[in-house]
Amino acid sequence: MNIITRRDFLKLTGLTAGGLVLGTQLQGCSTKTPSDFRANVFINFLGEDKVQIVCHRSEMGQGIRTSLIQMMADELEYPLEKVEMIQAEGDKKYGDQNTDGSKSIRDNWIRLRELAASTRNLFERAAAKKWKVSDKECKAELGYIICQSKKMSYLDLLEEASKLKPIKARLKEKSEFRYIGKGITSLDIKELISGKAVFGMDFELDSEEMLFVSLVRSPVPGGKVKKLNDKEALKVQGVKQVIQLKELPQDMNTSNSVGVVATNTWAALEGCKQLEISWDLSSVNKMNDKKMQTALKTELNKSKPGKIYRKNSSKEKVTPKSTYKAEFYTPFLVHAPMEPLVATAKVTTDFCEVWAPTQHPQRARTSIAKFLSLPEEKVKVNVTFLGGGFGRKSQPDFILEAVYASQILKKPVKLTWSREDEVKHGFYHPSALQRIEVGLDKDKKPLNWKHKSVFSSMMSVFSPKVTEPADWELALGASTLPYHFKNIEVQASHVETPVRRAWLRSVHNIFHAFAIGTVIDELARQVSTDPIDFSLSLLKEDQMVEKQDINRLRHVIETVREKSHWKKRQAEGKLLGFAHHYSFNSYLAFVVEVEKVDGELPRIKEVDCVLDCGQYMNENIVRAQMEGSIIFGMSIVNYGKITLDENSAIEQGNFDDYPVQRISETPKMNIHLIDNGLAPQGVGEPAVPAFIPAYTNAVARATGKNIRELPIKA
Amino acid sequence: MPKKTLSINGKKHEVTAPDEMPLLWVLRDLLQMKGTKFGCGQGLCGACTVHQDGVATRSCQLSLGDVEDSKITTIEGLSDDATHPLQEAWSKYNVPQCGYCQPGQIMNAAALLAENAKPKEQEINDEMEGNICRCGTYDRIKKAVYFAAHKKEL
Repeated sequence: MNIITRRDFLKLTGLTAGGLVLGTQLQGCSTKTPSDFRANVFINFLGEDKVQIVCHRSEMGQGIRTSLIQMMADELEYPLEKVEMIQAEGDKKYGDQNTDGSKSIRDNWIRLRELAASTRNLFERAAAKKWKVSDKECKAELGYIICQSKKMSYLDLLEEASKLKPIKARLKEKSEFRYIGKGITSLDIKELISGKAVFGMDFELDSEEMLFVSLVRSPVPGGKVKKLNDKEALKVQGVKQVIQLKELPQDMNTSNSVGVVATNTWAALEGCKQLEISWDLSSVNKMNDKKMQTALKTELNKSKPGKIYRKNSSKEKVTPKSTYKAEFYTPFLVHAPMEPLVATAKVTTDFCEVWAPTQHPQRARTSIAKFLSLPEEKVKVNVTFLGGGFGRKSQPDFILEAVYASQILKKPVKLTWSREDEVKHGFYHPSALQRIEVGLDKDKKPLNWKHKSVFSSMMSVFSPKVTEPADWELALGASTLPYHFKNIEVQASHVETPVRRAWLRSVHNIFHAFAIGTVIDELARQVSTDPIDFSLSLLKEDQMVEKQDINRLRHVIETVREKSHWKKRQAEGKLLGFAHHYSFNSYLAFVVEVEKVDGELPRIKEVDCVLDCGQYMNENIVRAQMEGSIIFGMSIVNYGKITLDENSAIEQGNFDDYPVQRISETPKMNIHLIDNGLAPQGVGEPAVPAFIPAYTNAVARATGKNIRELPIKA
Repeated sequence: MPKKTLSINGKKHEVTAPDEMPLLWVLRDLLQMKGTKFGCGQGLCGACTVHQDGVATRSCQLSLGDVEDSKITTIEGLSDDATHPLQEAWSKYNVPQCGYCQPGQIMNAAALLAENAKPKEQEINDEMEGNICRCGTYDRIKKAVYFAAHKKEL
């Protein structure tokens, strides 16, 4: 295999933004040995009847390994069953590997298909040359080139093809897709159902030297060890020593911690339970849950407006007769992926290799290189299967801890978090307090919209000093309001908190969609109008609003009305809720039915979901993402709540006090996909925020009480 | 520490470990059987489900001392090549998303079917309630268990 030089690498990265100049790209990395033809960094022919295709994004349940491979195999015209999937290590040569923001498909849809098509084209041209016919007469089909009665395999054409200079080739039309869009079963299914898939938690080096470490961290970032008694910990069978770790680099916002080093994971975790530590929390900003909520309220009620993120002003003077006002509170949330955090690291004097369930291997690599003062070339980040991620595994803190411990101990280290560690030391979805004021005319028809959103900005991940939320934080569902009003104003303010924040699946869309979807429903009920008719009446035809195609939005709303038999079921008195939301470039509309249960909150019964994400890559996986988003949304609505104690430490610790949805409440789910062949957009995240208000609106209908706060069952 | 002999998937395994070490970690860290997963350590999530004498049990709550005389079955022992009827149904419905909880789900379902060959939907709900799937694959789990049992769609 050819080593990619820095010069080639620059060529590659320069190419990823726009279209590919394939010639330069492929020249840089093709080998001239006919038995092993690496067409580019993603596609490698091994000189046998199979091809290796690289998946450069992390698999955490969203099905990206299957989706990306089926997309590339399609354009390559190569049989899927003869593809060997290779999981990429973290390296900029692959382009962006940050697996978040529901963008793995949309960012690679053109780029990787072009790469695969140009590779296919090499074989078409090689055959044409051999048979002395024109390129156009040669057609690729499942690993063969066919021209009239002649047929030759890619394998037999390998040598000839490897000598050609790649050019930009035609991409397939939708009607020609062989795999794209099909509901192909996960290519990893066998490993996943037999316990053989290697998650970060399962990786281990076959080395006698391997050490197992778990940490006790300060209950709040910024704490310091005041007194440590490790006597009992050292008595645990298998515990070898106790170490102290300083805080990680600033952007991780950690504190120093105490590590128990052992010969197995259990001994390390057990040793941690036996440590007696008293923490100096004098430098910590003490903020219990009540104080945090008061701070949000104070900011919301400040007479001075927050920063304006959107303003549309009407030229005519609009004087509302009345104002409809609603406030919404949503708490902090934690990710709770089924696999707690874990990483294995091997640090030597001039090299570091890690194996981790990371969503962002390049960020991990950069962070490690900086932490160890090594050039990036001396750091290798291998990506395992992720046992869920939901955004938490974008942060490299847990990987840096393993690296740090390995550096101290000079041995390979596997560092495992308990569930309690994961719940108590997260990067939390921020709590939020919002107010929406709608100016109404004398017939209670809406004229003006004013939305103020107050929360702790996630910009803390990037910068120590945060004064206001970033524009993109409001573009997560608030400033992107699709409705037409005479005047629109969207404001926001940041509230400082010692709690670490970062993104959770769907991010701020969760609270913004909840507030907006609820207000629209309440307004409709106030004027006794059907909420779907009401929502549609607020949209203007043939218009792009804040990057949304209003026609597509209208279409998902009308489709859910039809597919759910909304009107018939409304007439029958069924308890229905409706909402829609646009995020991650996709359009979603939901209808949820609940039923009354004696002495309890209403129970969810049936859900209709309509998704327009453009061209979907794998129908089965996209449906699964919708189903999973509904369950994820139910966990948020019913139970999701993280609270702070008097030291600003997290009070919850495991699934008993941070419950998530279990199987028995699973509703009947009808997923309807719009098949319009437009460019593919986000799938993993956009359904969660659209579902939430549809569900709460149904519950509000059943109970007759407005829902202004989540969760509803805790 | 004396050696203990365990019967796992029909084979004898010798381990030297303290009595209080949970079976979960004996399997994972001492015997390198990584199919049984660590999810919560408190018996709350079901990711570590194995069979103790045919009964679905959370291996994080079983200590080595508890299982010396038991027959243990783990996901590795359910079938040789992912061909147990439940695994085939799991494949038919493409159940897993991240897949981390699925060995526990499958082991729990296998014990359920051994006890109740034709469970009703409600019985599946009741028996599977202890197994969390954060990706939210419950609908497919239910359909797969039902299909494995009844050979027809739920």
